[in-house]
Amino acid sequence: MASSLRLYLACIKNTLEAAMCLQNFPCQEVERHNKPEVELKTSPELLLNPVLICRNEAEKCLIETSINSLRISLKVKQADELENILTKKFLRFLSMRAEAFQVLRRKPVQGYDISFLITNYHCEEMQKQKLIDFIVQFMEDIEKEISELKISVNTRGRLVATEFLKQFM
Amino acid sequence: MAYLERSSPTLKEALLKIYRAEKPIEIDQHFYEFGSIQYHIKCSVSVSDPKIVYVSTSTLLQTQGIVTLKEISSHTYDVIKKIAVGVIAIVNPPQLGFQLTLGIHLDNMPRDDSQAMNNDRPIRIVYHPSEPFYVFKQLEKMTAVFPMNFKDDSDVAIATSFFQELVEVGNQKEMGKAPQCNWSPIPPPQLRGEPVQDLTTNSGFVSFDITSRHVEGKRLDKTVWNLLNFYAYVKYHIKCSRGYIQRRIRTRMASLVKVF
Repeated sequence: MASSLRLYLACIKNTLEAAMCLQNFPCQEVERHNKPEVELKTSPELLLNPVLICRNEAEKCLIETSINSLRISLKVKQADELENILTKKFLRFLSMRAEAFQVLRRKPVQGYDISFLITNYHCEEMQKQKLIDFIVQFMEDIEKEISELKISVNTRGRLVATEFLKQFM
Repeated sequence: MAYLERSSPTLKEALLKIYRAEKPIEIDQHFYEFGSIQYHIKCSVSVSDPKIVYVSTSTLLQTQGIVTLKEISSHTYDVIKKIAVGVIAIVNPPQLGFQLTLGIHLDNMPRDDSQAMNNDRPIRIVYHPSEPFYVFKQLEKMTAVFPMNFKDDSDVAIATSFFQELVEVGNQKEMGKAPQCNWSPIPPPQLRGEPVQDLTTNSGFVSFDITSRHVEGKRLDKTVWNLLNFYAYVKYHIKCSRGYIQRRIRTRMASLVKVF
């Protein structure tokens, strides 16, 4: 793993550990409602300052925190058209099956490729450390998967091109 | 029964002489036919003037000894204009004393059929509907150009990566015997003047240079078949690649979900 990636992931991990202090908090405006405050943003006193961690211009991570919920948005590196298409396809596929991941948001926040929404209930059901590890692992996996996909699509193209040209010989 | 040819034999002979001459020749000839139809052929050799033959004609109607020039109807002009666009042009005003003067541009005149290809006008071939491609002849080789269009953005991305690989593989030493292939986002200059809808693509133009060794004996059939089905080949590759990507995404998703 490149050292810059390790640093980037370590930074995200530390920030998440600090931010993931969630507690149950019923809605202040509507009785018997309990909604993630980071989504509704009803009262400013319940929100913390969002943290933006950038590896470079193309890769960044936005962590927004509130009293009972946490939103993590990721932007994945897309060096060229092929990577762009592969990332879109992959992350769309995951977002459409968000219920399988529980913490995945169905729609990414504007300007980002994929978002997670973690509420206090998730933290109660699952181990906090495991959840953080999952997010970090997920980021690593996505990056690896995209680059592997790109390489194999190119390799396939190369083999097919070779076969095509061989027919003329 | 007398058989009168519609074309004037003298005129035909003179024009053929000019046309077949190896070097440009100079001609300035007057003659009459049927006593009343006057012709004048003029062809001058000069550097500034391109190879144009001027043919003037007039029909003199002699009625009671008075010579009058008959007007030519506009319909006749229209018919003449349509005979050969770019080769025959009406010169206006006509030569003095004539009703009609035609300028024949010899350079634009197609030579006989086997040489027509030398004019390197590209030939448009439509083997699959909506996917035309072009073939044109160059010195010692023939080039097939495929304008590539895809509906989907992801198709374009996969195709682009394929074309890059194709060019790269084609440039390798061991592929020296395969046709030289090129991929460029702009159409080759030879296709200038072809319909705009054929020249607007979202994935550029792929061209193959076919030399004589690719059309020797049994190879001819194979080469033709491969070129005709190049589109289908690329499309099938894209389809398979998409399937492959989907399959990989699915397995990766399964491994990611395992944590929960």
